[in-house]
Amino acid sequence: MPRWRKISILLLSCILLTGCWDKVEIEQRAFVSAMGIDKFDPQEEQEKDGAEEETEPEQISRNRYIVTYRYPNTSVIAGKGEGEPVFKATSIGRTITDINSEVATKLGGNLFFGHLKLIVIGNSLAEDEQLMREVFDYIERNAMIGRKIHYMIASGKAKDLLEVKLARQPVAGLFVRDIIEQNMRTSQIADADIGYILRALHESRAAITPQLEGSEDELKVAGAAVLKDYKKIGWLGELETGAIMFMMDKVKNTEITVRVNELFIPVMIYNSRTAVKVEVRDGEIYAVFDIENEGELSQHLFELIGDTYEDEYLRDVAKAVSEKIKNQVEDTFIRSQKEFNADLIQINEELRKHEPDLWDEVRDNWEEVYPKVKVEANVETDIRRIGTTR
Amino acid sequence: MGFFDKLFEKNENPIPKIPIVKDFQNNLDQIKEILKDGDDIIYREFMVGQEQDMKFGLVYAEGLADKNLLNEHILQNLMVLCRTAPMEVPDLRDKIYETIKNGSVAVTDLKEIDDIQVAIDMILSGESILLLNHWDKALVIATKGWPMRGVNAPDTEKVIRGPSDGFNETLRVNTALVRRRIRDPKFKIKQMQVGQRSKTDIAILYIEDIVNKDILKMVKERIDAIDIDAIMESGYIEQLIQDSWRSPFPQMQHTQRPDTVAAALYEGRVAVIVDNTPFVLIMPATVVTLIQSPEDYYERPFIASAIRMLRFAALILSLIMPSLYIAITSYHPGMLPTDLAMYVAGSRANVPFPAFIEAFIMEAALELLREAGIRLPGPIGSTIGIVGGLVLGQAAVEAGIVSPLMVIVVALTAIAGYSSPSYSLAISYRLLRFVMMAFAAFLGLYGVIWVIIAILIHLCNLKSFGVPYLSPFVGSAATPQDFKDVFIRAPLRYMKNRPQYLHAGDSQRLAYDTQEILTEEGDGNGKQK
Repeated sequence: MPRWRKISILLLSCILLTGCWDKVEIEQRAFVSAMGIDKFDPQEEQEKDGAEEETEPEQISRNRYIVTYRYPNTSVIAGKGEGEPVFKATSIGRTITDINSEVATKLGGNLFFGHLKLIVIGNSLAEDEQLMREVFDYIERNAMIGRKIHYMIASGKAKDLLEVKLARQPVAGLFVRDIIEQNMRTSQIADADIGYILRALHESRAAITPQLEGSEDELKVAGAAVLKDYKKIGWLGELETGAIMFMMDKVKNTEITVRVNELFIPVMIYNSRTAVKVEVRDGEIYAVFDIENEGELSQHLFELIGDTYEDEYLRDVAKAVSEKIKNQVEDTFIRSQKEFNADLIQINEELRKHEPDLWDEVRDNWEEVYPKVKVEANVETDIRRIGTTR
Repeated sequence: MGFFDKLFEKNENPIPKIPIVKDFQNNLDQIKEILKDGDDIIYREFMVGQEQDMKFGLVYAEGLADKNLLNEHILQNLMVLCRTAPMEVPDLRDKIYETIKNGSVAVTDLKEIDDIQVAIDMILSGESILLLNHWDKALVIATKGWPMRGVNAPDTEKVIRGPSDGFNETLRVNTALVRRRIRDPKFKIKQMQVGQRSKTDIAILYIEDIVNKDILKMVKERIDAIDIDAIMESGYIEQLIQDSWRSPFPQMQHTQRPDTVAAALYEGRVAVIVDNTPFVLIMPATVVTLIQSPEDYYERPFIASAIRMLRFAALILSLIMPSLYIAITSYHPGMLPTDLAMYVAGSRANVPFPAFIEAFIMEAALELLREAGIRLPGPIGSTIGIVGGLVLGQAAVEAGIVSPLMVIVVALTAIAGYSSPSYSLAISYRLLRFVMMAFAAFLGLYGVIWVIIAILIHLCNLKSFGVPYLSPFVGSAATPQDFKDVFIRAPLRYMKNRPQYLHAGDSQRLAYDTQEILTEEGDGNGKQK
């Protein structure tokens, strides 16, 4: 065989033997938009189903997860077909991968996770470290799952939430995306995507995830769950979640209502920057949050003339806002130390980057050091606009 | 190169010369013998002089020679006027040839020849031959004149603004159209004949002190080397002298517009006009010259630049759009925005074919429509549009054979393909599109990228008469100056030089000092000094 032929065979096999061999026509894929993962509870299943075959002891030991998939009926979206706008599929199995392939076989199609928007974790699963670590590993490994998708912990069972018949958007995943994006303006929703959660868990083994609640025909994102050592250890309320967002510099728009001179004044914060610093003073570690806000008066009192033009008054309002944020931030930080001992803001990373010597000393017993970190929030607020006032 | 050697092998036995002899009848018989059974050849024998004792013969090809001119200015002069004029000079009989040549034949172009073979060539190209008894030469009278198409607007390469005269099938008219635009003694029109049998006239046009001598030499040598029986169209010349016959890309530009030719000559290119075709070749061509339209230079620079960029985008789109559709729907649905991906999936829900077959059917149908549209006579041509649009578009979608998105892709591809000013570039893209679709179908985007890389490798390699085809992107001769006329068309006042990559002489085109003009004639706000 002449040399050029050998070379060209080599080159051609480089070109032709690689490439994308996973050809599936677009209409044969099921675009999973939301995925709910619950812990399989044999007792509960038994009660519900009575003495069905699924409750055989052998079966029980094998099943560990219940996974619910929600995927759109694309024909309806394209305006060509009729029927349910969203399909659901639920299955039980030992690992998520097992369940995936089982469901795929059952559907006669391919589950496609490239457009996944939401993963909901059932409350009981969230409290199980072993299963949670498996789920995180599954997500991190799966190349199709994007890093910007939402990862939430349900207040109850994920399956129930995904079965909620929504009044508005037909595709549950997209709906949640819309809620999150709308609610950016009120920072009381944890703006935490799976990329952040995975990184935070790698860095400090602690993170917050948004909490998903559901009712008859509504889903609501409210508050956050605290993850520590890969499992849920508690809840944060909406105000505390907002404070965490301030600390993580993720606030875009939020509203703070303060009481000045017997008036309730809502201030719309539309620009907020936070700088996190770790300082060592007198042998103590301080976490310092320098928060700068800009905002506008969004409501005042009808026919109350004059006040809003006075610098002094506006400064009082701004000061009240600053004070309120400062208290929230410091309280929440202390709660994260005392109640959870969970380094939610990744102070350890700041320490590692800026105080490497100190970090070397404390890295092995960070768990004990963290609760002793002092917190200091310096909040400055400027009221830039006072709205239409006479 | 064996193929080319054989092709260009010269026939080394030129046809032997047949001298014209003094015996008039012998000469005439020789011609008649050679042109035997050529019933369109007219032999007119007549007597001249008061005594009717001088025998003359006129030979011409009917239809090619201008009969009016022969009747009014030659036959009448010789037959009527010569009889009435008194023969004052006694030795007129001896000087008859000079007299006829200088005093009797009232036409502008006369030549004398002494070879019957040459005379035959002349007759066949439309000239008339005047034979005299007792004279060993013949007169060639320029009587070429055959029915021809007027100087009409060309069907292709239409412009909104700009001249609308176009070449026709007669070489002489075509050279005149170019000459009208270049009144420069340095503008040269070198003529030669190619084709053993067709003896097609070819003119090589260039401006002597601008053209790159190496390119000119190359053109001349390659045309000289052609040894073929007949040249039917400039496409023959193009295919015989191009650098690489394997390439799908045209390595010469062809045009029907004299202004395009003149502009190319001013840039330092060479043009070749071939008789019997309105398509003139311009060489060397680069990818960029094939995307430029003459109108770019007539319009204001901003709109011209915007349109040119649109054209670049359209060319790329027409190449890759169907393959992108195939690759993304079959392999990479994650690359689409979620809402679009679901819409595409839904609209393809009932389509029975995989994306590749679907795209292939639609693209093939489009090519068929295009082909049928060309063949059909004008009035029926529009029927094809209706049939194509309605039957293939609407009905196919309604029947669920193809998805509406595919129809959009095909339509956009077709529109984008037609926006190219160079038809030959557009059709080479048509071919590559199918190759790309095949690769997209079995390798996804990876295959698309491979085809693009392969095309780029080929393009980098390709040369047109020694000039890199991708100039000014590649090639050591290109300078940043050349990019003033690539994606954008710079304002004329900043395009002061000819393209550098051609190594043209007299490189400055424009001496224009902005500062000077603005300060002399006011500051542009209408204020005069």
